[in-house]
Amino acid sequence: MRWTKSIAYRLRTLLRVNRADAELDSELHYHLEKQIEANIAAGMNAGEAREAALREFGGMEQIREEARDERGLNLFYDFGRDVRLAIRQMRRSPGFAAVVVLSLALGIGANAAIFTLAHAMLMEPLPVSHPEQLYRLGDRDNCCLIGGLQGSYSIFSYPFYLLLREQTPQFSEMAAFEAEPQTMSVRRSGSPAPAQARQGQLVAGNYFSMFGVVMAAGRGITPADDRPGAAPVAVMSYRAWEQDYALDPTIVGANVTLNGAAFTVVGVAARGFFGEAFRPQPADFWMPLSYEPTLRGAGILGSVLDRADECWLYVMGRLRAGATVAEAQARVNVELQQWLTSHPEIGGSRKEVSQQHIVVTPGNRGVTSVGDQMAGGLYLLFGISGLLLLIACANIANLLLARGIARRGHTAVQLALGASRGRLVRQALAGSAVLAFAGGLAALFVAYAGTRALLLLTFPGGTNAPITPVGSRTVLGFAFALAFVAALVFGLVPAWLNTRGDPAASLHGAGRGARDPSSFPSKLLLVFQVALSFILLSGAGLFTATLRNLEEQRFGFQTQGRMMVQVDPALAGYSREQLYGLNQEISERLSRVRGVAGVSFSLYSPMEGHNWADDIAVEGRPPGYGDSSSWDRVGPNYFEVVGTRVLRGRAIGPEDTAASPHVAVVNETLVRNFFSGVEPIGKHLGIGDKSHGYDYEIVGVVEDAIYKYARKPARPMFFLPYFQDVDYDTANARAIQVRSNYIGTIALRYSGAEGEVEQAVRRSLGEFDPNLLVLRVRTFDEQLRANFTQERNFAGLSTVFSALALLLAAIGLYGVTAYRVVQRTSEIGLRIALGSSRERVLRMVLREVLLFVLAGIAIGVPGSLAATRATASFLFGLTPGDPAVLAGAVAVLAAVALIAGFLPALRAARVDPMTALRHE
Amino acid sequence: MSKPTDLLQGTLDLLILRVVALEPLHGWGIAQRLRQISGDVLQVRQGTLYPALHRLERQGWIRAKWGDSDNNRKAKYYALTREGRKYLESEQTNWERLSVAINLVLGTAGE
Repeated sequence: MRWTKSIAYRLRTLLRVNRADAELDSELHYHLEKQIEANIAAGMNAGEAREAALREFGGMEQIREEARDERGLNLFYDFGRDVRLAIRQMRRSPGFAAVVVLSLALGIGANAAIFTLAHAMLMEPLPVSHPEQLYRLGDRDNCCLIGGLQGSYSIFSYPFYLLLREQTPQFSEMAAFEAEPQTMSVRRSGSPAPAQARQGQLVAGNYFSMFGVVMAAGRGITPADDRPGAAPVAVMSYRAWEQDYALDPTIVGANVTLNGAAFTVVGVAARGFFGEAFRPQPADFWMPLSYEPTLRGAGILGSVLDRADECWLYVMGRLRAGATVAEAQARVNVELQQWLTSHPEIGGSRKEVSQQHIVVTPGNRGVTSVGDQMAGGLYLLFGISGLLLLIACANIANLLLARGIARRGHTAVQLALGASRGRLVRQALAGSAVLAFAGGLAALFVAYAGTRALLLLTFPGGTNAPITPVGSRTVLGFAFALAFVAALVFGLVPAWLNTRGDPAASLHGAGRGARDPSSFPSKLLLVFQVALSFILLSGAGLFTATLRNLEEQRFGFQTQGRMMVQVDPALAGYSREQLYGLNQEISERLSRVRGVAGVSFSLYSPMEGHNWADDIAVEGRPPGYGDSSSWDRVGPNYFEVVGTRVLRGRAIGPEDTAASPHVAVVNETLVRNFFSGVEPIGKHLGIGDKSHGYDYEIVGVVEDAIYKYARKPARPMFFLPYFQDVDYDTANARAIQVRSNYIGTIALRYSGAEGEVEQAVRRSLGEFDPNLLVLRVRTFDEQLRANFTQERNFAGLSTVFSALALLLAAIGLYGVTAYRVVQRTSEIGLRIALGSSRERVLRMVLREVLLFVLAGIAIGVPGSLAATRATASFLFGLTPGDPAVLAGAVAVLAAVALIAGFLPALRAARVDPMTALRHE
Repeated sequence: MSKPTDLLQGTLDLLILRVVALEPLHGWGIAQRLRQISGDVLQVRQGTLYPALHRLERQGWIRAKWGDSDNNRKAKYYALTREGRKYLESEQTNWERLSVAINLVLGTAGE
């Protein structure tokens, strides 16, 4: 195998480069001496012998070069030399290098930051053992509790899971877990501190062993713990241990109260394990499935552990070696059909049941729903930052072109001395590579800051998402690969163009003042930059306008001076009977807090994210219409506290109690939809079928208010007082009614410092009942704004990127304009000498600048329309082709261009004709 | 001969290998041996010889070793490797066949 020997030889000589050179020198020397000896022996004297020998030898250096050539190492030598040369050049023009490295750092860093997020959310496999063996039953996001048929079954009931686990031999292991971690009230046993809200997830006994999770402390949950009657144990996540307990080693064996029930912490999961799915709020605690009745029994339906028809578990398993996915899928589908036919309470006709199926999907990234949802936004971000990088590359290419023109003479000399074009191109590329490498290094810092900023933007309430800003090897590789590609992109064309041309002509200075062949590519790049900047600008304009439209629409409530306190009495163990006393106590206590001007409460507040809707029956309206409406339970003074105007009749007040007549307040849309113009006050409605049409009497009409969907008009909605209950036939409906009487949110009107009021409120509630879980306290304004985080991010990021792009384009415009002014100095001098006014010269230069902008816009407008068409669904209140936004972008670009070109234009106007004409 | 005959690169390689096959030689020795055996016809310039030697070394047909020469001076000796010997034999056979063919053509054509 000759080529292996060849490579081995090359490597050997590479490592002993200097020695090889020295060896060759001694060889040649020896040869020379022997030749001299021979010459002397042939009769010449010493001097003649030496001369003759040297003459015959030829050039030592050339021999060395050729020998080196044969050694095949020139590529390495040359690259090393080129790199050193490039570094020297960078040191001599630090400004140039700084601009290039900075632009690259911004462009590459932004992409790397987004890639870090995308990698963690969309690409990285679970940090468990052998994730490639894991498979999930199901392909949908069917969280969190489903009673009927699903089509593609992705969420399962506990009894069905047990059957699947026992009877599917294709899976060596199978474990189920609650589809999503739930908020729990957590207290350290014996501690007086009030309960905290944490995330907890119920998991099967073999959850940890199936994933192969190593424990950082103590032990994991085992199948022995997942039996009825087993002692209550829980496992904590490493992150929770670090954040809440400061890695206290005594945690193993400590007691905690979860949702009012006592549990023992038996272990802490390995650092880095965050569960089976990427989530912004991962689980802090894991408990065995058998404790579902204790921990979740307070839900609407009570415990669902033994129900065959309530599906609440996701299932994953390890495929046995030798089994195929197709086999496993066939088997579970057979089991599904058997299960559905033997459990008719699940419902469905024969045809519907036969269409139910399970898809077995790869589980190496776990359950991917959350990540997949955010994928769209990430791709958009990638698009924006990709544009920025392109603009940076175009800028750098232009700068390199300009520098190449400036060094035209130098290049001509090199070519004349016999350097091959390929060699010079390699040299230029090596320089680009050095710049790109430096840019890549700097980009890592930008990426770190950028990732942290992105996380803050994407999850403004803080997050425990398992993303580390300190990139992994993959991110590093991505950054440098991008830098490499960038170097090629911005380096190749200038390298090619700069090494072209007639050396003689360049040396004689011809071509100066005449048409410069490389000015066309330069202009092209500039126009390209302007076009891309325009696209970014119009994007920023669209996103900013969308945000403004969303936030400034008429909502039907007032956020000024209001605060929302989210609580969960159910988790604190309050029973239905205790609620009345609780509500009274809360109202009284909080109205006494300093700074609080008004208190009310409701099941949920506007723009909190909730929406309770049901089929309703309206007095006088024929049944069978499928009428449905949203509704809420509210306390006295509610509308006044949240700032919704009462249009007619009255609001719900303290006189509406369990004993008083049942009343309701409706909104305008409900009146419009169900009463078509007739005065509703005095009429009745109810929840359910037509037998409930007379449950509640309408006593007031309020203005429309948006409670959940900001992009749609208000839905029909009505409001019921607390504790005014009605009889229902089904257990479901009764359970919903019970649940609706629990307070979800306390609304306050306050004055003064928000922080102080919040402290006082928390203190007051904590004094009253430390078990009462306060989930969150924030101003009404914050609550509203939290709905538009994504829109705010896009508006902010696209604006920042546009500003950067404009800066780069301005630098480019300035550079090219300045250069062209220098180029045309003699022409300008001639014009002035022949009588043209300086003002006209100024305008001439600026007109040229504007021409660039126009050309850029001409390309940019269709480009922008094409690019933003994909974002049409994201916009609100305007279309991608909105003329105001486009006009604004044009105006901004023109303004920036004029500013960039102003200085060179001024210089042109100040040209002294005498010196100009003498300027060769 | 005052002017050395131009030699094709491949042919020079073959000649060097042949010379070195007899015994390991340094660069000077190889040049001298070529001159001697060819009766002064083949005079290889150093600028051609040393690059060729390095090429042959890279391709693995000869191996280099520093050794003592006359007067206790150090010189780099080149010796044939096993692969080199195999290459030499096959190339020599090719060359002989080629030269016979050329001679035939020249003989008949030049009538």
